[in-house]
Amino acid sequence: MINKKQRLFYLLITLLTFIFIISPFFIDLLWARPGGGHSYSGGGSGSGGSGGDGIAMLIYLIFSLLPPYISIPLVIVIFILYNINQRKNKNENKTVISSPGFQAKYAKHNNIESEIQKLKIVDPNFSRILFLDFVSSIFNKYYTWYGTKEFKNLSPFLGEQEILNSKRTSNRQRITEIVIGSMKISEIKFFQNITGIAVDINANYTLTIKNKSTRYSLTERWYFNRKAGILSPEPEKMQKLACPNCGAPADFTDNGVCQSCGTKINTGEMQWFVKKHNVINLNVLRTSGLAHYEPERGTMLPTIYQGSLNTFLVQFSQLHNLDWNTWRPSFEEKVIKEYFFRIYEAWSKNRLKKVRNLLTDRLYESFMFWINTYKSAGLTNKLENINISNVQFVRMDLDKFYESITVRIFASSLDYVVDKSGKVRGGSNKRPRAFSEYWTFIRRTGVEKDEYDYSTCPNCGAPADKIGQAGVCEYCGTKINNGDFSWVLAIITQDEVYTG
Amino acid sequence: MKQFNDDFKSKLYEITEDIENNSLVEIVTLIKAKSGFYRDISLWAASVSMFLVSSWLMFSKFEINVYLIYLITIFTFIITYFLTEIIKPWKRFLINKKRLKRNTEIYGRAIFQKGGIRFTNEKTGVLIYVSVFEKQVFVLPDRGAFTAVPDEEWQNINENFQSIFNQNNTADAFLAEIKKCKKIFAEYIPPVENDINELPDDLEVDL
Repeated sequence: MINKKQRLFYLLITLLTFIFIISPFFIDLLWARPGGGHSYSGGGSGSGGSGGDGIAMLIYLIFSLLPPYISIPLVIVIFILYNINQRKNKNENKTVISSPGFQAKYAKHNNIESEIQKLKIVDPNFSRILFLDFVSSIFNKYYTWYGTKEFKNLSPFLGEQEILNSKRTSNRQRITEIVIGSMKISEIKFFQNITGIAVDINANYTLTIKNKSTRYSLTERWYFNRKAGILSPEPEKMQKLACPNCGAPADFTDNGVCQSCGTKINTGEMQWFVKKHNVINLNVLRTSGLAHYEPERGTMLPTIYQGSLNTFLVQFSQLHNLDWNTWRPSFEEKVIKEYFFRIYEAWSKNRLKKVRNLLTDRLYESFMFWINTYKSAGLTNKLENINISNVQFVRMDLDKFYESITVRIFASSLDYVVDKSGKVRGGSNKRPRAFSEYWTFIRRTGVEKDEYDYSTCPNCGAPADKIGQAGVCEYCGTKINNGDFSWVLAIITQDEVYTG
Repeated sequence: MKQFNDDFKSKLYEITEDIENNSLVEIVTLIKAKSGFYRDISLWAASVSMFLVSSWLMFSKFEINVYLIYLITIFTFIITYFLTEIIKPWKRFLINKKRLKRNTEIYGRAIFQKGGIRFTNEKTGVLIYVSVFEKQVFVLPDRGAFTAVPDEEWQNINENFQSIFNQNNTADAFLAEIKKCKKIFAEYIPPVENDINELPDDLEVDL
């Protein structure tokens, strides 16, 4: 496929060639022209075999026929006009859209933050981390159970419209391999009787219809409601789908009666429910561009700091009875850098299981999805010679159940993609690529230990050699990757999309 | 396009948010430098000028070097082509008005479809597409919004938007016009309590 510029170029070349071919006829005519003509003393035109000859001929003619005080400015004028045109075309590809700029995004983010603080005053049990865990469970089960009889187990968590909508869809469709990439609270609304939270979810899943599967990447906006003024359930009832009354795993009748405790769970009275959800973006996920590298766009962007960071730092120091200036370098070395190197080493070697204990379930699933996608395309993403140049503490959140720290890590590494034969298919294994990322670590409130003991289970002390996909120690059956024992990495956000 | 700077973007976003808070409509504004390349026009202009110049040279009473004739002819073509590409009012003058309007509409409809503006439950998405070179504004409401607002109001909205190109500062005139829409949308498509925006803030439209 040739683009418009190439087409124009070929057209000009054809035209020049054509003129060269027919020029002898003109010459004859010109000789016969009243007033006579001039003989030509040098150079000869080719037959127009190539466009380069024509342009070279044109420049040659300009310089040979015209005196320097005309020919030089003439060529300069053509050159300038060409450049002006190129620059104009470049500017004209820009599009202005009614999307928020950096400042507006920052202001919106701050607004959401203050709304969360407002919610925490009414509901001291509210924890963003736990809420998003709940959203993740609902999203996952919604699609896993879609069109199956288990879907009724969601009845206490779905609004009437959502239940009606779900019944319209063909039960021949099956959704599997659901991976949530990121979740973000996009709106919080307070009404007299209702509190609402909208969450944007980036995910991908496989949809199978009549044994034919398609992988989709999508963004959806889910709107949750609950009665105003109620308290969020304790973590055990938020981290998995459970009866908000007795805490038993979700097993409900069509009418929302818990099979375990017999309580009818009315939507929104004890727990959040989905009022509506809609697709914002949906595309078929293709692996053809996996080895393609775009230039880093956000490394030079200014760091976004939380407005109330210092207040939280003081609060954190008091809570743990520590001196921030002493604790910070130790945290940087033992947690941030250590985790960074270990996780990316495991990523490069496709051995993510080795760092299972350092990653939350959602992040692990997301990493595994990409590793498997690379694998299925016969590729591996390698990160070598990793070097951290700077770490900036940008954000801290403290709530009743969890504390989180977000840092911006500036690093560089050889970042490239190889195929099965070891051939580099994208990136460079010679030139380091500088980048920055925002990493968010979480830990259960009240836990004092920072770094993870990599060789043993933090609960039973048994060797950490049997930690399954779910992050559970097979010796004692304890889940060790939920921040109950030390910091775990929960979110990685690219610098160009981080808003705070 | 210089008028549509970051300051304009911030103001536009604020106004859009204000309208959406007071109405169920979801407005997406998109401003593009042009809805087509129209290179054929520049090539036509270049060819015509080349023909005229070569004709004049052919029958001129002045004595001109034969290769200079050849050179001037080609040079005329190149210069006219680039000048037509660069001087926008001249290029616009050469293009049929219907074509300018039709191209804007085609582009606007494509953006509406590709941008997913139709993905609102109540079909209340409204695209306001501004094509600067064509000096055209194309307002495309989704079915719900289209039927909720009387046609007379839509015609007024369209006419008012079209008048922004008669003002000195197109960007400010555009903001003033979009502000006026708040009242109309609030009156005919009032907001629903406990609802959310269904279109993303960061709409990606790559055509």
